[in-house]
Amino acid sequence: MSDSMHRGACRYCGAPVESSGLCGRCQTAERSDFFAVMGLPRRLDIDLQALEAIYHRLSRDVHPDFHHHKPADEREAWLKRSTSVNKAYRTLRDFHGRVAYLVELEGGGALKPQAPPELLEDVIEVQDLLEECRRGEETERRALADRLQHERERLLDQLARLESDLKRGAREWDASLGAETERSPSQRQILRALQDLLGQRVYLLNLIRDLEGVPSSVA
Amino acid sequence: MAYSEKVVDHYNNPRNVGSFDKKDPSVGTGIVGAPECGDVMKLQIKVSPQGVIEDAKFKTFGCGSAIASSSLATEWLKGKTLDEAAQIKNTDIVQELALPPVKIHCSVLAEDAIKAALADVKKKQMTTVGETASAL
Repeated sequence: MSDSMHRGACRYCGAPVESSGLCGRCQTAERSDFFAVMGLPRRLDIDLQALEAIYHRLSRDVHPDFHHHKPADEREAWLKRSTSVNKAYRTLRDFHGRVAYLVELEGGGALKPQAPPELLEDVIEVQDLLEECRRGEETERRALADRLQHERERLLDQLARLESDLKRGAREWDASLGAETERSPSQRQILRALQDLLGQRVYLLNLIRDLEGVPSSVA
Repeated sequence: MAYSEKVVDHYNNPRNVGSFDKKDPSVGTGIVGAPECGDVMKLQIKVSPQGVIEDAKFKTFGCGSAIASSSLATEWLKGKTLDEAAQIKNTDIVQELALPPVKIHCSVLAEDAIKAALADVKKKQMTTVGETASAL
């Protein structure tokens, strides 16, 4: 693994993150604690209606229009706060976005998720089949399309299992939270498991999406 | 975002697409993935008894930059010794292909794939040596 992926590296390009919270190279990654921005504990089970209410309240408070008469540097700060509130809401309202954000926040980018080699090999194998199917003659294509349909069903099952593992991991994380801010080894383990599952989910979603276009042999 | 000419060239005419037999003791295979985007890259090298990479092949399922990065990597690998191959850095790929910051992880993936393929063939060589030694 490259040295550039250390703690405090931009999650987009790997360059060091400056003290301003922005990446020194691509200026995209902002590092503010979105849970804190919304005044919430770092729990994964969030009441979405309550989140929306908080968002509306904060949006009014930080809206640049209410601060336009203030000095330039203060206006700048309110504008940044307003951006943070928007980003926090957009990130936290989605379950997977929330889990990904928590993992990043807690791991500080130090963890690199590892996909099981079987999954990556699976991707290569199914993609190979798909390519064969696209190139093949009519009869061959029909036989392959059938196989690919089976593969797609198998992958959808795998995805469903993964989603329920994610939900279980999220519940374990919430249950593990106490007053202390220091994370225990078992909490780190939960975070790592969540991160791995999120990574595997992306591979599965891509593969399932690519299989979407396969014509079924029945047609 | 516009891709550089070199990326487009490698994307349209990828070099060395294909596979070797994974079980061949002279073949090193590296399969790596980028969990951020779901790109998967397989890179294989075929190594001569003298430890020179005779041939390299890849299969990448992902974006244009990931395909271009691995295509370029296979070109660079051919004719190199294992030690020389280990010197290839993702930054070299970034420079050659003029990759934008958001695509740097594609070059990291290619470097990881090279390292994995090198580690795989070295492991195989060790086992072969071990087997020969125990056979004697």
